[in-house]
Amino acid sequence: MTGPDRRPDARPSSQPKRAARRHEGQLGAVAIWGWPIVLGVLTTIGLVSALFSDGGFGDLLAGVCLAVPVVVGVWYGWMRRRAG
Amino acid sequence: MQPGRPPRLHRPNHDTEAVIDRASWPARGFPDAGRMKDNANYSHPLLHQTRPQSGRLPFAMQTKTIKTWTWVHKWSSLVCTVFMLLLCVTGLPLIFHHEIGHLLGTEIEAPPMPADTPRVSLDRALELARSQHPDRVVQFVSQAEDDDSLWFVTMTPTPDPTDDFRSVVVDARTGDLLGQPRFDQGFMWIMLKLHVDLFAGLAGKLFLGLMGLLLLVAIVSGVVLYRPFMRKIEFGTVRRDRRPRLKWLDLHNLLGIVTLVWLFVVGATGMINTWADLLIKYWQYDELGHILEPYKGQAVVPLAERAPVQRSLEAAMAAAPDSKLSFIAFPGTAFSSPHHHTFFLRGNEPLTSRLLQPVLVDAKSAEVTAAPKLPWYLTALLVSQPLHFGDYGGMPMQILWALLDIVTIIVLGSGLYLWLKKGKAVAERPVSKGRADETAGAGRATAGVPGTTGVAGVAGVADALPTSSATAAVSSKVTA
Repeated sequence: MTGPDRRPDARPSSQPKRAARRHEGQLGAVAIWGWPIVLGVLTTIGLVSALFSDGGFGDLLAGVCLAVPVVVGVWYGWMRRRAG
Repeated sequence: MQPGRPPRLHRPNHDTEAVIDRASWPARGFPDAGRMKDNANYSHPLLHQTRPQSGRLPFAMQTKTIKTWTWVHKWSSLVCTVFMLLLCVTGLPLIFHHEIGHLLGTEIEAPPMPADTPRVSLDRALELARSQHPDRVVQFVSQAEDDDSLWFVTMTPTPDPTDDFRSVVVDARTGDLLGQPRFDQGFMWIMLKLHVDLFAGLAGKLFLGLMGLLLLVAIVSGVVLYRPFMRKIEFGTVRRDRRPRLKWLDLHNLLGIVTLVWLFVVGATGMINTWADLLIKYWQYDELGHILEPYKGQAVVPLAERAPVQRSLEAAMAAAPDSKLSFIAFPGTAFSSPHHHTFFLRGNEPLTSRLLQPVLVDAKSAEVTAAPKLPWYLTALLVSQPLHFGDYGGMPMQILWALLDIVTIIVLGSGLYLWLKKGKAVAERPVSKGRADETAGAGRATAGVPGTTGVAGVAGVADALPTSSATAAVSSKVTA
């Protein structure tokens, strides 16, 4: 993954605002909120789907959807370092 | 700079790379936003030199906004964190209360019999329960969600809500006494009481509800602060090679955003649950008030005048076909009226099995008085319960609930650590003349809050600098 001193936001942009941001090494909204939104939506799907299911597909879907945030947290928080 | 007040700085950082590393600025700068108050000059000349041309006035406003949200996040979390840690720790075994009861052998199980085995009259089961506790009254009779072969009879001194209760378990098919489990003692009871009301009844519940509200405020403010912290580092970055505080800040942000929706839902539904007693009271006053108009002024129906409960049960079940009994509230109890047995029936669908249909049956005549639709606020309460307990998706969901609970404990703990450590960093390294140049290096990293640019002022950190040329030297290094 990218080290802290690399500027990941290297998209070409003609808009002055974006250009200024890129100059400051800032990430765009998608880079900041992409993962959080995906995880939030997955959590919501997981929480709701099991309400409408009794041991069926909904429960399975809930298990998968709720596992993703846990896995992401553990992966970035602790596992990635060991993986190199 | 106020006289006699040393500039508050982080520990000196000898790593020039780190100084130049703009990616780490926000993360180092913002935690200090709260400490910037009363100090409008909290800025660094460096910033003045590197950023004035940007001319982006909103920065000043942004700083103020960030400071406000930092204040909100700090205090809302500080007040509730200890209680939230308690709730997370006590909630952990509660997720598995069925399994733990199973292991401890405290769960009573019905001897297997064919499904069509005839059942004895409910009144016989009640008689047996009353003979066990002649000094008590029956408050509730309930059935397990997935097994109707047992009657759980809850017996209390009076029909009023109390923690002093005995449970009598009777086999619904044979009428045999199967046991009298004590749910009101032991490890799980202590966990439950600490989790629900801190052994303080309604006041304890409402207090924990208020703490839950603060948790929600902390979550929302945390999300607002997520962007300023993360706008220069990629999702999931955990900077381990620097001070431990930075590592824990990154972990706090990562785990906080990962558990965001789950914790918000569990926190909100937990808060709603603390209002259960009040909601039910309101329901009795509001809805049942009309239904009970004809009974006004009458005392609780004496036991001797009551019709057989079995007959009332049959009448209630006939009034709501395609439903199963959840529990019966007896006359005078919190869930009923003084004149009725109230039968709470649940549906057969996954979702409707969570909802309850109350059927009020006249205790004397065994005739159905009313089957009022549950008001929206009690429906919301009932739907919020599984979302808090995590008991609606089988064992995988329970395990995930436990894991998310543990991650939440880490978020709370790291938040507390970040707050405690912030004070220490200042105390450990007072600014002295001899270290001024080192301090300046750290100051650059610390004061590098983009938002402070607008609030320029060559005071503050500049006081600690030996010469202005030193500033220029380092600043050229940074801008290079």
